[in-house]
Amino acid sequence: MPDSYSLFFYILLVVVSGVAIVAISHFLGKRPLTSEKTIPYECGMDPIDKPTSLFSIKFYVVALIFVIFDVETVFIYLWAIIVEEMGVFGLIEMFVFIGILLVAFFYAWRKGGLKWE
Amino acid sequence: MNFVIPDVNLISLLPEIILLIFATILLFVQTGSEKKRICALLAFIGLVITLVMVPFYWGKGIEGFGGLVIRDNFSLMCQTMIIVAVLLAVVYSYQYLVFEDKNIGEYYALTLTSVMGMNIMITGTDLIVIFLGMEILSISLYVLVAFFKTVREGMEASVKYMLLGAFASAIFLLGISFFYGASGKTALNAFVMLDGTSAMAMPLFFMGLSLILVGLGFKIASAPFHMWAPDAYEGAPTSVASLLSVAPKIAGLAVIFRVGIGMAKYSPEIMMTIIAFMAVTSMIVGNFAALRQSGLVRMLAYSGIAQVGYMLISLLGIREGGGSALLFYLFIYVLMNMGAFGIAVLLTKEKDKRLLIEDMKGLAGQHPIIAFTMAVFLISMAGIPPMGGFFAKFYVFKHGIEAGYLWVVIVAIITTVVSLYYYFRVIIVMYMTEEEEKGILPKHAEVNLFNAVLVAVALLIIVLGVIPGSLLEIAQHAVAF
Amino acid sequence: MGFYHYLSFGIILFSIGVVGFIIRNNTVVLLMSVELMLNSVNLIFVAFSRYLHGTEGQVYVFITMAIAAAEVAVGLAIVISIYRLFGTLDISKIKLLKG
Repeated sequence: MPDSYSLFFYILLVVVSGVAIVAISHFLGKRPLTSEKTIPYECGMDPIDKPTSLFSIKFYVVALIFVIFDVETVFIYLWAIIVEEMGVFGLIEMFVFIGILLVAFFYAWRKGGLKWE
Repeated sequence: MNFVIPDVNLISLLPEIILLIFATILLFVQTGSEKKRICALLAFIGLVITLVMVPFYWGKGIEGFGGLVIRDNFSLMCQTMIIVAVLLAVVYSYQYLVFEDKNIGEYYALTLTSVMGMNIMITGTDLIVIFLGMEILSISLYVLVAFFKTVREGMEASVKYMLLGAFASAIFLLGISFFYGASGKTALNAFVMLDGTSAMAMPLFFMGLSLILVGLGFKIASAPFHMWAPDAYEGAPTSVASLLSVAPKIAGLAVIFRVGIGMAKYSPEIMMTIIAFMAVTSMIVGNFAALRQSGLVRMLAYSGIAQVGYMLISLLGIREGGGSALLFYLFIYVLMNMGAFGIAVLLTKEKDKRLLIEDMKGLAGQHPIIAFTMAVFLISMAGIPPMGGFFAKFYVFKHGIEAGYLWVVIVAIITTVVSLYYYFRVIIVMYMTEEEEKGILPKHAEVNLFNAVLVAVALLIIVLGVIPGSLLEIAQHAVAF
Repeated sequence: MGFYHYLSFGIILFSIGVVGFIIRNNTVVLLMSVELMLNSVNLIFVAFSRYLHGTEGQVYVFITMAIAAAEVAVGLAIVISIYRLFGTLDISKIKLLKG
């Protein structure tokens, strides 16, 4: 029991101190809201654009290709579990599967889906 | 861990593999001015090879992948119908794609993959395999509907079709999971209810069955899950709409048939109730909504919904051999619906302009052959002898009455009478109105090949209406397990 | 945490997806709702698989994931085209087809 009490006390302390620090600096500190203060990293690199801005559609094609090929790899995990029991048969099966994926990959390549201009 | 390598038997999936190879070749076709012709020819050859293979499989019942797929007579009959429909669709596409020069190879490749998906659906005996086939079919069709990327109507149709189709797929998948929970398997032909858990298994099983039927109801566009169909058909390129209006219905009804046969032992009254409900609402909604349409494709869409209602009646008598009536009706439906859509393809002037029934004014005076074939298709849809549509409806009603669903058949007969009005309205517009000066056919139409195909389809409908015996015999062989 | 918890959780998630699909208008949110439905079915599959001491259910999850990825890829491509053409993603404002 004492253990759980101490854990509870610890969580309480963390929450209270966290809230207290924010509250104290909120009430005591002056807030000169210069433009320097509002950016996410005060002493880092300046952001080049707003996060809500639209970006190039090229990224989207790449993302789509990634989603497809990424998910296809889950079948390789399944295959890897029983590859030893399956022997040569399993090896051929996986080469067929990879071959089909390669055809799709070549298609995406030929259509210019991988170009990055 | 003991792993047994299943009996793969690639022969059982050879047609699908051939279709996939042809689709892959089509993706990489890169020739200049002749590209359009070569692509259509490649797709045509691929489909014809698959069609020629049917007699070699007939009667053998080849199984593959440890029983996950079976190529029995029923699936071969459905395969024949699908390929006939898609061959016609390829001919239409060749005519219709004058509007577009880009990505022709992809168009035909997607057509072939959709056929592959349908073939997997009808040969699959396991719900997961059927789901895979359904998704291959659906995803191909979503892209085909959106083929003209700059046509707003087409894109709207595609997004609606895609969202509702994905929704239906999710519901179907939930049904599969309940089914799996109730039986521990997803195989249809070896369904055995789990013992000891029957208190939970029965409700789960019924819920799963209902959800599967709802998902399939979406795919075959039966009311009350039909709302995507008219928009999708109207917005899609007309050649795609012709494919969309027959092919998924064949595959979906075949799956419902298989589910019904598999469940026959458990006497699922609930399944029959759901099918009867879907049939009645489809007939009423389809026929009455078709009455007030001004666009030809939209009218055909609602008439297709009604036709699905009639076909579902045959499934009510599934235990008494209703499947033969289903196959007969489907065959006639493929012919008459593809024929009517062929006319719509021929008369479409612009890729983003819809064809109104009014546009067909005076067709009979200028192009008597085309008008005559259209009349044959419409009269057959209305179910008037001596066309094939009459016998199709007759057998369906007979099986419905034998199964004890007299009230459904009465609704069907009443709605058939209603349907006469809108089918004959088109014929009246074609034959009774004054000729106009300007030509009805668009200039680019290559009428010769097209006329020959349409006349052949119309003749086949008449022949099947006069001597329906042989086709019905084949259908009865096909459903005798 | 027994089997029924997982089953109920999956069904609740599925219902959230259905409700989201029905009440929302944004096409991307509709796609997300469908994805939620598919993934909640995965959870149900795994729960049943555990309950029945079988492994099929877990394998189906992978197949479903692959299918869902294909579907979302095609769906997003169509949604992008829709946004380019109509300038909006609100499905209730995209209504050229009716009758």
